[in-house]
Amino acid sequence: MDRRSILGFSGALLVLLVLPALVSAGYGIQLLNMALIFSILALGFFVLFGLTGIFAVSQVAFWGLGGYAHAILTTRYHWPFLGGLLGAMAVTAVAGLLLGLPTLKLRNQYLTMATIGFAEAVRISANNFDKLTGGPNGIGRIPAPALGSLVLNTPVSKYYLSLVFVVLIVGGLWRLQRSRLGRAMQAVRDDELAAEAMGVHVTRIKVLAFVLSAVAGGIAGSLYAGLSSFVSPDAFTLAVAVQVTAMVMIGGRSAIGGVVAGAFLLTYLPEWLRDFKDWYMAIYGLGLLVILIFLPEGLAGGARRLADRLKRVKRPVENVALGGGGQ
Amino acid sequence: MTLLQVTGLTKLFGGVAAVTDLELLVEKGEIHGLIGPNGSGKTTTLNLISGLYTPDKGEILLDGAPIARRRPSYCTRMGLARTFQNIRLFPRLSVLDNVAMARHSRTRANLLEIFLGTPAQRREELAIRAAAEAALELVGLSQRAADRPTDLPYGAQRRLEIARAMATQPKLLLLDEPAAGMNPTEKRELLGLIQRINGELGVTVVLIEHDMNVVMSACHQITVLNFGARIASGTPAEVRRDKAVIEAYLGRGHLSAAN
Repeated sequence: MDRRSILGFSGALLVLLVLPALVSAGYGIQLLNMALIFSILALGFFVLFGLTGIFAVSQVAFWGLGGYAHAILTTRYHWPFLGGLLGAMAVTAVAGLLLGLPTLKLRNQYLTMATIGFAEAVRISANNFDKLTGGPNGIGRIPAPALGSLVLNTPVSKYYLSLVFVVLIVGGLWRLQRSRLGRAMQAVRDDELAAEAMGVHVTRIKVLAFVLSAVAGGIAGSLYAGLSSFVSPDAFTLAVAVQVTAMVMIGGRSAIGGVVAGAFLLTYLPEWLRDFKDWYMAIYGLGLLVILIFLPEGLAGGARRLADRLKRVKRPVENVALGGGGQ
Repeated sequence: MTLLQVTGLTKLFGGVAAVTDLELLVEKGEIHGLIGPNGSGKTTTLNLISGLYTPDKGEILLDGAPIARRRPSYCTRMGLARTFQNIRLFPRLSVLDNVAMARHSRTRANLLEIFLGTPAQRREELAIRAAAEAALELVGLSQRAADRPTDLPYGAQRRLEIARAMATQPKLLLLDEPAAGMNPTEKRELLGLIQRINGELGVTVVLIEHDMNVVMSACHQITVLNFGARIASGTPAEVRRDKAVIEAYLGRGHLSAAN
């Protein structure tokens, strides 16, 4: 790890560690919790879209599947928190595999359409499969996360639990991006045919990316169930899928730190724009468009470009000394 | 000893036969030229050998192992590597990573080892980096490791494709018009590079090329295609004298005029 990454990572971690002390005990901490859960969702989508170039909208469905798996296992079968979490991860991994194998043969927009269908099917099933999911009423009384005798029943303790997962996932993905599998994913993203010709089994790499993003969705769902102690179909709509997509695009589709920043920004933006009332959605949409047009690599890409430019401004003397035409 | 044996290879596109009943023998250790007029089926043949196309008929043996109708990544694992006529580098990966990714089929770290960063996985990553750097060194691009491939001049992009193919550790390297768009100096350097890959590193080469100077000075053996079939094969000197070859390249009129 180079010095700049270490500095950035520790700085961000420090901010995330002290944030709960700076916000209001009620709504403030609730928002922070949601920002972390969205970070995990967005990090999963980052593996799929940012690394592998697959545009699927199924992230929200895996979030829902994970939430319900956790809710059912902990309320009906009285599994402990960690059991619910592992159960949610297993369910989403299998679902990711089952959805990925047939749909990854589809090209671009057809795959997107198929995953929209899947996301809607999951939500509608949750709404109608009363016996298992409680239908529109959802499942309540999900026990608070507990590790042995340590019960995390305050929003602040749940925040730190989610933060542990965010840190683990960020660390894991940072390593993945710089590994043989991460390079294979990025090669598939840039040129599928060339990647296959250079020895990458493209289907396997795509399925791996799909399963990883699904499991991230499962973890987010499990933490969400533990956080709100209640899951219902309302939380897993396509609007959320769009929001997760925007988080990755705005944060920076190839920078892990940018993805977390994008998740926080888009969790808080609606709050900051609340005063605009009816105009809120218009301003929100316009802001997204501006970022996508002027910063195609997202906020992280913009920050990198700014840093490069500052570096160049710092030593203009050298350029003059070279006597060139200033190109 | 035969490294590549192609027999009865046929590929139809709709009703058009791009390659018909093609025979091709490449001996271990040689540089084998594959030439022919435009549209004679050279690139189709290469795409069939490297697994990008599925043949309608025929067999392809690489070092005795059948590779026809297998996916390209399998062919690569079996020891076959190629470059592309229309350069296909990975634009968002660095020059070094473009080459490092080609170590994929020769390395084994799994997801869990990568997440945990086990000592074996870290060692393997260092080995990947060293191999990628060596491949860049081979083609003279060490200085550009951190750049994007799109920032390289055209000739350098072609050499980067060769470095990437070499990083897969091939027994057989297929080069599809590597000299296209190069100036005479670049062509001379390319010739030296191909001869070094063949002579010093012992990699067998199949070379598709339109530049006859490059073909005639690099190749030990040449196979000539026309209309998707082999019309001649032999040493450069033999092929140059072959009536069918002269006819295919220059037309019937030229042959009678020359006599």
